[in-house]
Amino acid sequence: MKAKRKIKPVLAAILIIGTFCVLGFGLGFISGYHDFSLESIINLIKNNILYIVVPLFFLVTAFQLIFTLVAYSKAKKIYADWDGENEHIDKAELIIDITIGILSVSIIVLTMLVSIWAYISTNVMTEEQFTSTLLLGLAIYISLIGSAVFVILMQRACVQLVKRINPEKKGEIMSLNFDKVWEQSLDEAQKLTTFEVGYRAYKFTNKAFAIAWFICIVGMSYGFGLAPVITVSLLWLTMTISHIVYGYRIEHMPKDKKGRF
Amino acid sequence: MPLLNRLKEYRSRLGVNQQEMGALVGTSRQTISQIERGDYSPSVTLAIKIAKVCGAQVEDIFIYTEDNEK
Repeated sequence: MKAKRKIKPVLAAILIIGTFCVLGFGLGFISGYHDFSLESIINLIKNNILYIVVPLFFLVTAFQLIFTLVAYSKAKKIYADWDGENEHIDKAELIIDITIGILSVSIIVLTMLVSIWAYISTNVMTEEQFTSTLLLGLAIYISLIGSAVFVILMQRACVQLVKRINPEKKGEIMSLNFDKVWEQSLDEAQKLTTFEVGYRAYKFTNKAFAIAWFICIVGMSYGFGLAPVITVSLLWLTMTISHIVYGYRIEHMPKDKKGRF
Repeated sequence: MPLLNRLKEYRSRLGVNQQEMGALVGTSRQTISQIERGDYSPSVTLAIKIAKVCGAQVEDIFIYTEDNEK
């Protein structure tokens, strides 16, 4: 067992070094074979990205629709068959968690893809392509609005199912104070889980912001402009300051009998 | 570190399911399930409530040994 623990980091190091060797070889080969400048890469992406973005958009939309409907039906069936005693219901809750996650991620991805399509197509579109681009744009925007409505309705259905499984949970997802009411209905173990998840997400996002900020700074030399670095910096600042403020309040400010500040 | 516990045994004696147990002690079915699996150690307040409902002492239901820390 001890030998296995010693071998793992060595294997990981070999794997990482090997990956970078292969990548370096590949990039070196391509740079010698093609005109490999950042500008040429950006142009290559700009000229071809629409062939990726549009099919990807409809693929993600279809996946979102099919996966969430199948998953929700499965969770609902497990709940319907639940006798109130066995722990199969934990599987239903896991499926619902994954479904809500897929819904949240997919709508963000879809809006990002639409933004890329809208920006690139208006830049590369010729006069002859105006009508076809307009029709495609209509189809994409109608799909996006449909997806957004679907996400809202499915998330509501998932939350309603969670509330049927756990009657002590409160809150209406369409309400503005849903987060507050839901949090108040959590018990001690659920609060601990929620807060631990939040802290881990904060730590990960902090690193992600640092990497994004670095890319934006380097990108300024290649025509990215000021907007990305300012946007990333403001968002990073908002997250950091809110973490400091809430950390101070929770640690140092007195609470009433109900645990509120 | 989660404690060893005999909650499932005491709950069976009471003849209640996890949801009913949760309702009796003011917590959720999920938490009762986590405690029984050993994935969560309840707070002192919750442990006392559970013991009271089961008609037992806290030490009868939750078992702490030095090995729990290892």
